[in-house]
Amino acid sequence: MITRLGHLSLVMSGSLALITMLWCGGAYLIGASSSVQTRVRWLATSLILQFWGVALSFLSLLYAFGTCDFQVLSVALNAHIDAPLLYRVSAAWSTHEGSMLLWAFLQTAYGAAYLLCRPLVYSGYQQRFLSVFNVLNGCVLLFVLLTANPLVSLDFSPHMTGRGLNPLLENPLLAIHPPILYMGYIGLIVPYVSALAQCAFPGRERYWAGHLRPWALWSWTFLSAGIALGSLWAYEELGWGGWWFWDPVENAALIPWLLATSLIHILGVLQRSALFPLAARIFALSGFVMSVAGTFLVRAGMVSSVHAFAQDAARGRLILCFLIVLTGAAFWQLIAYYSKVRPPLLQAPRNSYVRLMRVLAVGFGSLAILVALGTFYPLLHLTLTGKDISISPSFYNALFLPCFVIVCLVMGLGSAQVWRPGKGYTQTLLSMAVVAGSVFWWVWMFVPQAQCLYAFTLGAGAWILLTSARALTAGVRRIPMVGAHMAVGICLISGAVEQQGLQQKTVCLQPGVAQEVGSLRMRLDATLRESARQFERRRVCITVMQGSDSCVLEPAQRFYPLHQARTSEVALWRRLWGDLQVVWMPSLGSDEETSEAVVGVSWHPMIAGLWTGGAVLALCGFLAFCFACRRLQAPR
Amino acid sequence: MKRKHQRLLFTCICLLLFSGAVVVVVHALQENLLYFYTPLQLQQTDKPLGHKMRLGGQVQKGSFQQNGDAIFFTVADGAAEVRVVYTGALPDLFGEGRGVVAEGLWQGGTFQATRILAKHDERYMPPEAAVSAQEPAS
Repeated sequence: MITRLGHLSLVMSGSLALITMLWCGGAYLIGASSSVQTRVRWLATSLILQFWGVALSFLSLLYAFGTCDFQVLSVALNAHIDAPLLYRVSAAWSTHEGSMLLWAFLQTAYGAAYLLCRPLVYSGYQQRFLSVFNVLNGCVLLFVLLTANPLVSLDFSPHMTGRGLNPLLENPLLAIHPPILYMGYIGLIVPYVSALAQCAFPGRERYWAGHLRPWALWSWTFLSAGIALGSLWAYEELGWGGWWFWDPVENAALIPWLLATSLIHILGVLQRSALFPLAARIFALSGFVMSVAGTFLVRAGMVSSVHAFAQDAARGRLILCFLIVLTGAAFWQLIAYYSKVRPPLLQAPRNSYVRLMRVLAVGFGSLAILVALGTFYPLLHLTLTGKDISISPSFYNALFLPCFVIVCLVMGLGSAQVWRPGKGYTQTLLSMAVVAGSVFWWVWMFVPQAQCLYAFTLGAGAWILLTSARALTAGVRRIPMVGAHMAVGICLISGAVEQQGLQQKTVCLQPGVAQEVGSLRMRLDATLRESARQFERRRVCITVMQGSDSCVLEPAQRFYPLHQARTSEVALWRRLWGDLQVVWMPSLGSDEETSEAVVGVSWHPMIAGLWTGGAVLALCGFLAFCFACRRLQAPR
Repeated sequence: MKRKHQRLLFTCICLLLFSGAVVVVVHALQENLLYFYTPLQLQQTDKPLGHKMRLGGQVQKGSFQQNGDAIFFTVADGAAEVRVVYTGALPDLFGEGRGVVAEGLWQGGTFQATRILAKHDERYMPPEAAVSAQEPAS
């Protein structure tokens, strides 16, 4: 009953969006005499009603999943009576249909939030913003209703226990990963629509930038948190401790993140000195366009990736149409803006701050283009030649990493701008450069098997940490920026050290006998078997000793009979300077109990720094968001 | 005039850097392309191919062997079979009778894999669940 109500409210929201679209569009074309005031009020009411409708239907979906109402097809296919509540509810957004409803929910929520945060000004800008937002709402709601409705129910209520979620997705990190990432992806819609409206009604650039910046910071924070969570899940679940594979789905999240980083910096410049209005618009527009492009990539099934949803070409075509409309609208408005206003393209920079921001914009823009090229080129190649190809990770490692490290050097200079007015600026900066340079030289010369890029990354990380640490004394207002820069430095150093110092070994352990594995001693104690409601679990107990420390690790294998799928539980020994990961690799297909155990052992130095850096980055983003909001409310 | 010359010089340098970057990127792209092969296509060449590639198909039932570190299995696509050799951890969704994509080098007779990818189709429904969903409630 509740889901029927939810379905009904979804249909009503969709039709409301359509009606408003037609009414406003019709009024515009006819040149009707209704004033801007009426139209803005009608649009605002419509957007808020749409939000309530979609919220109701999303909540009804969550309720159906929570109570295992198997009459709803989505629930029958993805929930299981015996699954814990978290995985029942998170199954709601792990399917294509459920995640599209989540998308619609968040999109309408952002519309309602925008109306809540801004006073209702009756102007051309506001009307354009609200009507474009309404059109986008209409498109997404139509897509959900017609092709991806998760609330489709069967005519009968089947007696079943449910198929259950894909066992690989039963992990607390992955359960909350989609909502957080989607908050980031869809958050970029406000900059997009805002930039479209600002292109049509240019003026008061500093005011516009000041009001847009909190929105950009909010979605940037959630994108950073989402990417970090995804990497953490991959590290803990997928075995062998890899955390970034340059997978198309991971790149689809990285590209909007790079564009959002540029956006928050450029908006800061625009707010301060009314410079780079065109660049701000370009980054704002491209952020959401690349989010949707990433969605297209993941759902169209044209690229082979372990993360992708099941293939369906029809969904892909519709999303592609939406993407083309978005890109077309963006280009049209940009060209219209440029031809109307003619903003100066290549100005002489006034000071080094502006110069740095220009380099940053070009740098991050190029990085985004590079990753997009690598991610979308296989698609292009497939369409043009029909041959299926993929780009190996070494493309990104060879090109992206060096450019990113160079951009990070510029970032260090950016942190240094904060304490620039102090005395002895040049001397301190030079001495920091010398220290970083000596780190680079020492690592390259004296650390065995160190490559130039590794030494360069460590030198750059040291440079960032030094310049940002000095900037900490500049005051509370600067802490988010400085903290975020330091977090990037920590991530750079940890990531580089982990990749360089990674050691992996496969050993065959005999029961009761302690074996030397590198600097450790490992002993297989027991092999146990137990069964839970949904799965059968076999685990091995291994005692690992290093020096005077020892730890009992229990890597396990789970078998889900309903899915005929195995998942492995990785055992982690988290130590201060690194993690030891042990994965049990029992022989496939043989169910008999052998006394020995083949395990994969891997040592990941300094990996905790990566997660710390990610958490600090998200936290600083949130702090920056709060500070930006407070700045808006303070009287001029 | 000097200003005009400065801008011209600046534009030229930018164009040069840009074309240099394009050359570097295109070269890297060409070098790192991984073509996708089916077992049938690989069977047709006996000599080892120098570039890395991807091989996709189904893991043949009963072909899996593990010898300490090394793992052997056969990938088939209905028309041909290829023997694959791999050292390392297998992804959880790997199984006989399931789809797999192996990345590595073709050595002429066997495929030396460096990475294995396995994917789960969300539409896969085991027979018991499909049957019970069809029966109406009594």
